Amino acid sequence: MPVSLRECGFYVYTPKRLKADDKKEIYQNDSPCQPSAIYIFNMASTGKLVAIVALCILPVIVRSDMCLVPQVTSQTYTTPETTVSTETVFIIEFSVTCKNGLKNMNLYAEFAGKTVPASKSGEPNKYQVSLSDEHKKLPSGTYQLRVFDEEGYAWLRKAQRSGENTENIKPLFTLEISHAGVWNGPLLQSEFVAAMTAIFVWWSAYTARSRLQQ
Amino acid sequence: MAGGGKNKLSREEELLLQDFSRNVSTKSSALFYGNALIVSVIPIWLFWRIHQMDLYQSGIFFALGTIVSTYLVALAYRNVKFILKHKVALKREDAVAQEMMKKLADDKRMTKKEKDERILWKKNEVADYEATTFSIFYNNALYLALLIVVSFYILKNFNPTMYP
Repeated sequence: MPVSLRECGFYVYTPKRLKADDKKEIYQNDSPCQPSAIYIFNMASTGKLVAIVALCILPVIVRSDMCLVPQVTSQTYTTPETTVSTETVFIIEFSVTCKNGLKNMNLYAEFAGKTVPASKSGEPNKYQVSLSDEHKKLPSGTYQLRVFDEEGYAWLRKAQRSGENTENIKPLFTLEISHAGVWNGPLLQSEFVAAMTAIFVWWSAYTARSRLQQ
Repeated sequence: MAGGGKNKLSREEELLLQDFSRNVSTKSSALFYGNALIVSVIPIWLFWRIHQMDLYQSGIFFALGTIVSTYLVALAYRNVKFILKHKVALKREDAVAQEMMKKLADDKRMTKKEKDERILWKKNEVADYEATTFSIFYNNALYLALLIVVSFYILKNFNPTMYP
């Protein structure tokens, strides 16, 4: 006897074991409540709809925090001479443009095993990374600054924690810093030259005076 | 006292006194003070342009320093000149006398005393000139050498603007 879902309230499946023969056990639903065709159809269509919508949105959700084909323009400052600073400083300013128009990402820079967050500047998609170390530890040459997004940074941290090689982790992009080296100033300070000249002139005057007084 | 009168000194005595006195002529004094002023003003450029001292803020120090330094340098010129003058006179004595004798040899009318006086006068003049110029040179060299060494090395970390 067909019962409407409203009467039934919920669908109960109570299988009843029927012994057809010795080998097989056949179950039969003897519940009076049967899901109506409309209900089944509705459920199926809603599920499909959700699935279709999810399939459409999913890539957007998943891809939304990944920058696609980043276009990077950068400017670099490196300390030119030791007289103005006690440490060698690298300041890298870069702006990133993603193909998917992603903005305000959190970026992290990795430099010689150290990781630092890239600070966002006032303009959108403009970042700055500052690094400093002793003059001796940063001689002239070309350095690689690897920039990671949050996902890459997580991988990097994981690799660092487990002591694995971080070289294999693909960064979002890599920036090259060419450092021309620091100038230690002239070999002889100008005041030293001035002092030496003055002392030499005085010494010659002194010897001349001594010769006169003999 | 030799010569005429009690209070009158002979020319020779005057020359001798002048030779041994510490006093300098007005011309020499002007030369000393002029030079001392130039040498004392030069360091202001060093303090202003190199040590980055403010010209107006430190103006009073510069002015006082220049005045005191001018007086002291002039005093040093005078003292060194006084010490050197006799030494120079002794060193140049023979050469000056020889030259003067050669010059005055043709003059038959001049007496020996007059010639000697001329030689003494010339000797004094030469010694005065040489001692003056050498004194200026020696003191300038010493002053500037001391100034550079003291301002760049001894008072290197002394900064008057640190405690305004």
